[in-house]
Amino acid sequence: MRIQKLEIDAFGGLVDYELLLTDGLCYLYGENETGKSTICAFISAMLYGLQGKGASDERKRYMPWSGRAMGGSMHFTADGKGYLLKRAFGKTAKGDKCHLYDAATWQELPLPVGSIGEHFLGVGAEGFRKTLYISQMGAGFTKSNEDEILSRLSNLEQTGEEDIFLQTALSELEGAAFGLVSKTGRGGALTQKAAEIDALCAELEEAKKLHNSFKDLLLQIKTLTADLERDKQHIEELSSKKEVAALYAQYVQREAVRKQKQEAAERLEKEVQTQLSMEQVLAEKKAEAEALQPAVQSGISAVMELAQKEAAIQAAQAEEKACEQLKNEVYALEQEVDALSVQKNSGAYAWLIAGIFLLCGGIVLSLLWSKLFLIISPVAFVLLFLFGKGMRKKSERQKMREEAERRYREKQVLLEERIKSGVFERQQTLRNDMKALLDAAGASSADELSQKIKDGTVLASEIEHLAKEIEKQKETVNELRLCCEGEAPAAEEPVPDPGIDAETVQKQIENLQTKALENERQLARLQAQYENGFGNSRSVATIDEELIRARESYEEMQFSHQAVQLAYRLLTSCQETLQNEFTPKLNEQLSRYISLLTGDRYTQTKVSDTYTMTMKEKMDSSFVESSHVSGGTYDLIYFALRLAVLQTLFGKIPLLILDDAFIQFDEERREKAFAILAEEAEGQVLYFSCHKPRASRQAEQTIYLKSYQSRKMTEKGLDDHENIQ
Amino acid sequence: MRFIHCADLHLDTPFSGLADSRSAEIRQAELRSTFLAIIERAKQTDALIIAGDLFDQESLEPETVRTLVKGFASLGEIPVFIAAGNHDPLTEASYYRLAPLPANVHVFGTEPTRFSVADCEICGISFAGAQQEEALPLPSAGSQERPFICVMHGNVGGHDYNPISREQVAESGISYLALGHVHSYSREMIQKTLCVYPGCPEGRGFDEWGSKGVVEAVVTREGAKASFVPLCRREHQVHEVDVTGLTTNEEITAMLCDKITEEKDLYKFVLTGETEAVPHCDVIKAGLAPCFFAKIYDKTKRPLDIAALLAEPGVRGMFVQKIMEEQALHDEALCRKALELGLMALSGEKVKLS
Repeated sequence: MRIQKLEIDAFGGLVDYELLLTDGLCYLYGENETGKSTICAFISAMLYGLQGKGASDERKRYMPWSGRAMGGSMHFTADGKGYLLKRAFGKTAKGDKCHLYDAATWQELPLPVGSIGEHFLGVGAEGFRKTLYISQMGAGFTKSNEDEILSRLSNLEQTGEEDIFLQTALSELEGAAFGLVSKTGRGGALTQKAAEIDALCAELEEAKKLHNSFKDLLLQIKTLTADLERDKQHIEELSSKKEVAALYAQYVQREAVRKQKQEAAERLEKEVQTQLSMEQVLAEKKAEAEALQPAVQSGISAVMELAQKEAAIQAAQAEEKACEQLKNEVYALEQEVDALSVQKNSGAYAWLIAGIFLLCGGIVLSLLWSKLFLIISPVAFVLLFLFGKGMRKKSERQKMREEAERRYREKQVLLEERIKSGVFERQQTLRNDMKALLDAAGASSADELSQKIKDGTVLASEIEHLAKEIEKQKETVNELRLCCEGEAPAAEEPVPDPGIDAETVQKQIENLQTKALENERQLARLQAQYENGFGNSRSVATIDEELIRARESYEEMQFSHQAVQLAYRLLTSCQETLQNEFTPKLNEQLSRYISLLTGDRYTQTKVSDTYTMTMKEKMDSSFVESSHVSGGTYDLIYFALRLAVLQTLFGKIPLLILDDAFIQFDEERREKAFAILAEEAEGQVLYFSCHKPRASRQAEQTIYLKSYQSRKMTEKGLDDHENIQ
Repeated sequence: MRFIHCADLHLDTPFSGLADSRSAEIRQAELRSTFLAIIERAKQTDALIIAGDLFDQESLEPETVRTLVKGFASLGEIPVFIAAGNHDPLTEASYYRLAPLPANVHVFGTEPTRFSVADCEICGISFAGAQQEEALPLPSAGSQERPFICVMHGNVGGHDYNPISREQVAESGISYLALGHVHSYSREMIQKTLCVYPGCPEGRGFDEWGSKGVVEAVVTREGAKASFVPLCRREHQVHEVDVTGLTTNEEITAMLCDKITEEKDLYKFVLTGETEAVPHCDVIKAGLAPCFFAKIYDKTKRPLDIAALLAEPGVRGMFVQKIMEEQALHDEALCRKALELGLMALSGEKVKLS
């Protein structure tokens, strides 16, 4: 596309302004405030209409101060055909008018579907501003702008627009997706919702179970109520049974009483008889006892005395015997003494003489005749010995005799004493005493007496015993008498035996009543339970409602989640495509431009994954990172990158508008830049600048822009432009 | 004989579409009071016929049982005839057996049971279980002269839940076929038989919109007449609103307020069309005219010039291109949403999922 002429009726500060443009590179020079930006805006407005809202509202900004109708026309060619575009802008978008004419025939042509610019340039309004329109970077450029620039550069490379960070977009989408389902799969709103739904389903199950248990409750209540009815009836039956049993018991009792009285009367007779006979026996015994009275009276003491006397008699007898014995002993002793004194012991002296004789003889003989006669000496000794023995015996006997004598005397004395004490008489006395005692007691012997006493004692105890018996008997008789008092109940018809007694029935009734009470309590409990309903747990309907809401919400979120995931997936694949397709191409173009612009100083440039650009110096093959270069080189890189991106994206560059983009370049680089522009730009390149052009300009045309306070352009005015070749 | 014919009360079953349990509780209570309103109306007639789904077997609360028993008892001598449906079948442990129903309530057995009421003969049959794929035997009037009313829960011309064939109905000689199961009022004359679905007396979700109530019918020897009696306390209304061109939440709110005619009703608004910005449903809801309940579904789309987007260089165009390709595989709504989200992300906005 080539713009040939601009006719501005009124736009911003420009009124009735005309501008002729040439093909190829146009250098438009104008001092500050000559309307460069206004013209750019006008071109944009022609191609795309007025953009912006609020602060960047172009309509407001460029509304002519003079009050003239905003608008103008543009003559241009595209693809060999010539066009005339007339546009007028009202106060609002509704007042805008747009007409396109064929330049050759001035026939109005139908407007293209999109905007004019889109149709002819192949890019939308936003795209145009961001790609085909390059402004300077350097204004206010400081080191701190680096990162921003670098990021804008990399954005540009990736997205064709500087302000879009593809990576940010991806993270944004990823973040939204994770908000629904977290990375681990355990968190996120969607996962939570799913968990919520699960919990609600479980709660619903529980509630339904509870509900069924309630039905069981109702069933139980029903059965219990029926049971209670049955039990009540049963109790009534048993009560009537109990009455019957009671009546029977009473009858039985009356019969018993009657029988009892009857028996009592019979026994009474018997007992009375017994009593009488017992009394008789008693009387007999009493008589007996009378007889034995004296013996008894004298009592035991008499018996004891008798016994004593008896013993004394015995003792006396024994003493007598002892005396007798003593007498005998005395006699014996006397004998003994005599015997002893009689014996003489002359024999012993014989021995003595013989002995002495022999001894002397022996000695003499031995002396006179031979020593053989010494043998006689032992015999002599023997004889002497015998003599000694005999002497000893004699003395012994002497002693014995003396002893015996002594004893004899002793005994004799004793005997005399005894006799003195009257041994023999005592017996008789005792016997007499005994007799007296026995007579007193009325017995003939001690045995008889003791026997009598025994009998008397036995009898006494018998009498006592019998008296007691009689007392008992009397009591019995009295009792029976009492028993027989009162009328005996009359005999009656026997009552049938119900087979069970009142007590047992009563027990049964009580059991049933307890059971019924228990059942009633249970029934009350169950009913209370039923009345209370679900207590704190929620009803099935409420839970179900919440479940419905939760499911709806879940579906919505799931839909969003799927959409986000789809967007993410596709955007990622875009990123990959970009990287695969564009990056090598971009690098190629970029290297080429930078190499050209820097005069082959940097032969190769590559953009890394992290969007730092590294340039390889030709001189020493060292690598220089873009962050280390000067401000001017920065602008250069920026420009090169813009161009490279444009080339990669568009293929050919249809129209390029630069607003003093090379302001920071040095002379050499500027020339090179212009050279590139001249070559690369297939269409028109409009370079606005506030710097005077150099003489050695490669631009095909340098246009001087006068200040917009200048006069209306006429044919004449055109001559005021100086054309420098 | 004049009687009230109702069905499908579905006491103690969930109300769908409400935002919180408070409103749901209120609606449950209102359903009970609607039941009492039916009882009141029945006091002016000779009988009350309930054709099934009075409650749900699995979720009936003790309080509701009391309400039912009291309500029926208050009718005194006026009989109540109930045919159990698929939600309240006459099983061993059915509330129809367990609850202390008063003497004027007659629940039809699982075999056809007949009663005489006023000048008519009435017969009905209950569901024995939650499923009933086979048709229950349709009692026929026989040769008798008196008007014959039949009460059944079923599906005329349907395939399950007691399918009732029209041919059988035509041959049956029934004067009035009191039906239940379909939740909206409808009537059909098959030969001499008037078949009526009274519908549910109170809507329980936005799929049951419009006026709801019971049927008051008169059956004589000459024939049967039935009229619909609207009884519901609240109606559900569903509105699709095109908000193309509107730019602010306030404008949308104003448009919706126009549609709110009854303060007592429940409203569901579905916003369609193309708007620049996403409508903020909470803000709109806050500004609506008073009504019992309102729900807003946002089905608007952002105006996207697909052609323009496709033409864009760089990633946006590429992304749109890929979305278009994906549309063959996924459904349109999903792709549209993915496109919106992707573009939102690409333009640096925070991705907001409504």
